[in-house]
Amino acid sequence: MKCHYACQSEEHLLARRQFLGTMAGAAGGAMIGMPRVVQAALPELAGKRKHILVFYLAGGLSQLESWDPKPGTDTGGPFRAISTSVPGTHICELLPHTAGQMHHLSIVRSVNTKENDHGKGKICMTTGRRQEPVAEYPHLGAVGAKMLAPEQLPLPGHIHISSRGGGGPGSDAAFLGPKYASITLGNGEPPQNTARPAGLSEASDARRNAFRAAANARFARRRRTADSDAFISSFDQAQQLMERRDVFDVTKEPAADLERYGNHEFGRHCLLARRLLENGVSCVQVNHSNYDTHYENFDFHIEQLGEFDRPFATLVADLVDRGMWNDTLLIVMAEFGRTPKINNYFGRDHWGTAWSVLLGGCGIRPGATIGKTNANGTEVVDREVDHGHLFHTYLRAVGVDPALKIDAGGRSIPVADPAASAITELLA
Amino acid sequence: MPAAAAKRAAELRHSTANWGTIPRQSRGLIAIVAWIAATAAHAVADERPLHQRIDEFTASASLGPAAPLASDADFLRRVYLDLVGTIPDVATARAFLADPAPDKRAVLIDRLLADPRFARHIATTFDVMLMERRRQRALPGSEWTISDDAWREYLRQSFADNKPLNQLAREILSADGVDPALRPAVKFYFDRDGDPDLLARDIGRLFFGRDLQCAQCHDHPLVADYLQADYYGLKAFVNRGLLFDDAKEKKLFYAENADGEVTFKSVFTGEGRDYVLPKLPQGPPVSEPVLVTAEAYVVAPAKNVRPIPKYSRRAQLAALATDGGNDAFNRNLANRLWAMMTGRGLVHPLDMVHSANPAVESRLLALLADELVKMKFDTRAFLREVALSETYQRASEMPTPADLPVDATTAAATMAAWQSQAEKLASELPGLEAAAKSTADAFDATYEKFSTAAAAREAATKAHGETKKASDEVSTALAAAVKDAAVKDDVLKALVEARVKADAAVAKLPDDKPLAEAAAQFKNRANEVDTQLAELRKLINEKQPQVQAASLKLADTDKLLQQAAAELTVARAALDTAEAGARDARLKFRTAQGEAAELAARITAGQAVLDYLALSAAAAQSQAATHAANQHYADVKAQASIAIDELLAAEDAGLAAAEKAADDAMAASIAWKALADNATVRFLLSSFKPLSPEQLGWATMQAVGLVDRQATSLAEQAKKDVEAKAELSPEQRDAEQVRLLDARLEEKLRGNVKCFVSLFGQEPGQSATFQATVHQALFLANAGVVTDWIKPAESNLADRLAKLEQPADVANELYLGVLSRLSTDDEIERVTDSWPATNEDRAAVASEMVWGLLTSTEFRFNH
Repeated sequence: MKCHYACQSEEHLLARRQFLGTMAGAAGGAMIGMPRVVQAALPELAGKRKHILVFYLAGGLSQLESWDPKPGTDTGGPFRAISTSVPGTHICELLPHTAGQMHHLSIVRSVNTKENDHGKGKICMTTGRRQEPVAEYPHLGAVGAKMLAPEQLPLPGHIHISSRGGGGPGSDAAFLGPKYASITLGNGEPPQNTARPAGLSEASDARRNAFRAAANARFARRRRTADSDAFISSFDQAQQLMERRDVFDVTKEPAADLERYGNHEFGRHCLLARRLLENGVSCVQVNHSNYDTHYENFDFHIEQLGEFDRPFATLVADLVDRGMWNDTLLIVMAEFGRTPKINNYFGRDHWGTAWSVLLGGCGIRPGATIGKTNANGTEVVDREVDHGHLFHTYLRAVGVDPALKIDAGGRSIPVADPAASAITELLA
Repeated sequence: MPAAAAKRAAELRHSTANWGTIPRQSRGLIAIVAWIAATAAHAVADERPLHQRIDEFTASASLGPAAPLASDADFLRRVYLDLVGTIPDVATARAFLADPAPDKRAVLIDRLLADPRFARHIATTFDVMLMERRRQRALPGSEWTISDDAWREYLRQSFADNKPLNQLAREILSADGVDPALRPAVKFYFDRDGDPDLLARDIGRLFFGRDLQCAQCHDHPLVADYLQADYYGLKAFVNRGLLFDDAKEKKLFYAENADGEVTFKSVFTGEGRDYVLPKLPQGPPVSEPVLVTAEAYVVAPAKNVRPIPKYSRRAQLAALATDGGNDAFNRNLANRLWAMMTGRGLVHPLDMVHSANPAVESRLLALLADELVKMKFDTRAFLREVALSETYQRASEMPTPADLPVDATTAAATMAAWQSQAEKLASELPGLEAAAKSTADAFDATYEKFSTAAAAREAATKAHGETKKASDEVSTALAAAVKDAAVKDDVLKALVEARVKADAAVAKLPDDKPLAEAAAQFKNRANEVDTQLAELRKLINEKQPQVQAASLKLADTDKLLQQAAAELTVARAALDTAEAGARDARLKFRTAQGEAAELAARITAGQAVLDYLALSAAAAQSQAATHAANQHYADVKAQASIAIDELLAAEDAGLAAAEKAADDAMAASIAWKALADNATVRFLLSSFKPLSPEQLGWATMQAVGLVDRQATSLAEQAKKDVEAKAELSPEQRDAEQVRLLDARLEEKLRGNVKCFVSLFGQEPGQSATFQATVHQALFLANAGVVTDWIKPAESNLADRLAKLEQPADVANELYLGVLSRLSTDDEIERVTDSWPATNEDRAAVASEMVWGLLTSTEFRFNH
């Protein structure tokens, strides 16, 4: 069903889930946190290099129905706040499984980006800078792919998992170039062109590559440059990627795991994210729609978070169990939060003024709560931060110097906005 | 310069044009003499073709080593890619390679310049250069804006008509979207959202070769040439622009207001300017007519009305930039056209023209810019000369040491000449710098005066306005009172008259009471009006001196205003003089600085050659020493009675000499390789550039046989359609048929090219840098669109190969088809080894071979 109201952004194109497990799904949560055998042979890369895992809750998650509940106030809405594994920290009752993992996670409750537009908010939050007509800046995942991925890793360094989309590389790497642009795995499908074409035998493929290699060897005697070497190595990478195509196949994970995550689209996407990280992919973003709840905010959050909670909490627990937590920076973000004021349609509107971002893992002090909003959430009253502070914090957390300059065709551009700085009290 | 000397210099330069006839040792010296002569002879008209002068400059600016001319096959592929954006078909390649005519390269260049694909390829190149693959602006409705196709067709038609480049630039810079014929040109503004900062940056970069972005907030921290005032001078031209949605016409326009000033302040120093006049980089501020607001518009701005100013700053920008007199504009175009052919600008990067990043050979750049103007900005004529030059036609592989045209002695002499030139420049620099500084200070002081005068005039204008208002008020009041008094006076006269007559009547009828009352009424009224009139007269008496005073005051403020205006004119004139002085001194200083940097780079490169020559001489010497030591060892060994000590010593000496020889040879070879980097930068070696996404798409489709197959299937219809046009002459018909076929072919295959662009193109708004991504490799390896093309079908390349019996024929057809050259013996051998004996296996092997070459570095790059 397409919604005909509101701003016609992609985030508004909403399919109401068939699945209405919602709160009932919570019953299955007993498995989370139970001891499990740590997988013995992790691929070599996992656990050494740093990774970034972003949950992007497209449309704008309500902070009041998640990380900064205000029950019993004029803006609070109908839900209760529940206690979490961090004494004194409460979150919304829609996230019971996540509540059990909060001792690994930290909340920044004082985000003010002053931005209420979907597109611009997204640019703020994913690039750490406001939209400028004269310059575009790379997505956090593209920066991560450049800074964190080993040069010769055959897998893409920057992968998005979405319900829809897919196809060629996205265009979010700006001056870093298409090499670091995101690849979207639309509904968990592997990237384009990663399977040998039907009708081409393995032997024939080997022969044509041998012919290519011979031609290259001959030409290299005439002229060889960094560009020609890069071109040749892109084919080697392609071959390795094809050999490792299973990495994108979530059905190769044990059925029991799928059961724990929940055998539905978002559950599979979370499990796929785990699989990608274990196989060394540097930056993974899992997109979850749709939080743009101008109408029926509360019903929609019951649905969306009911779907989100268990797989998310399971993934956090798994990353901890598998020894990957200390090398993986986790961020739960959106383009903005939602208005404290409840509108006439029981909805909440766009709100960049006082909302929350969740962080955890690599380089982040666990169990912290940074900043504060006032009693009914209408303004930040302590430690106001914006997208710039957060972006610096992400980079510092994974060991990238935010002052580092990147050469972009002769111009030297700082990787993060030099006017901002990290939230140092959040860094471990 | 006396005519005789000029003639001698010209003869000398003629003689240097053909290196082959001159002993190698003399070449360097001749080069340097020619270089000096060329400089001195600058004023004398040089009638020789431009391509010869290009070669002379590239040769004289370095000691070598220069690559020899590229092979016919390399030249063929390169010139096809550079002029028509694809590779030749097999028949053309075969015929060209077999053609013994000595002028076949020139003939080919002319043929390609006349090819309809030329216009499209150059249009594509300019599209990517100007729009940098920005996404089409799609608001408020895409039909309101300019589609990519309309814009590309506009560019294509412009190049097909050989529209002068300055005219094209003028159309783009002054575009407003009103004239339907030129409407697509406004896309340049639309797709940048009409944003003045983005436009200032991109106009600076693309039309003047200067990326002033870092000068937006302060003088550029790293580039001394780039001033905040330059940035804002450029921005002032576009600051009044606005995107105008015309709801009635359902069209977007780029309109302009008559006001909207630019001011700036440095975020570092806090200094700035409140009065910024538009100016081109390095140009004087534009003097503009001062129009009163009411007179400033042809169509005044209003709700839903597109404003049209009487004086358009943007039109001024377009006119000043493109009239042939703006050096920055001319050089930028020449540099960009040069880079299109050679893969690198004479100044590189193309948008970093400044004194610390000098041209490799600034005299060559100046020559190219001058010639471009003389050619009336004719793209074809210009590119033809570049393509004809030996510089363009050089091989892309590093030459051997034997190609180094100088020996140590002549090299040292040339270097000494450069050194003394550099020293002379260095001695002049401090004086030029001091002059630049003092004139800049003088300008600042003059600007202070100007700024004061401008503020004074503003104040005077305001005061004059206020006085005028007050004076008008009091005059109006007086006039009203006078008018009122006149009316009242008239009334009074009537009343008095009536009263006199009434009194007379009362005297005649004393008992008539109502009549007496009426008479009294007249009297009363007359008295009332009289009182009012007296008040009015009093008021008039009061107002009259006020009006007089106001009028005097107005005359005073008017005088003050005139005075302020006159003072401003004087201040402005002084400012212009100071500005011209400062600009001139600054330009002289920066030019000298640029020349010094250019010379320094040349000397560094020359030193590398000297180093190599020394190392290579040392290596030769130690090789000779090794030879002598070995000989000595052999002699000792051959003696009748062998003294063992002597033999061992000889052996040790031989080994040591051999070791030293090996070390020296290695050092020489490393030094030689270091020369290669310089050689590419100095255009002594052809550059090695990746095919653009469009070139890759077209070349791939040409190689696999798709283009020829489509052309065959479209040719008949095109022929029929042209035959139907009875009005055309036979020659026109041929040309029209070629054009029509090309257009339809392009339309048919456009989608495939888009595929390549989306995967191999740069990110929107970014300048292109080469990156080989794994997704590109996966596309070439596995995408259905490519794998289908290499399967044998309908006389495509794989099909033709599969039908051949002889491996040598297979090899030649394959290499001609994909790489536009004949196969070598070892390649024929390899094909022979893999070519199946039976027919049924050949299809698969043919596909494998086509793919293997399509994905090779030799295919991916233009070399």
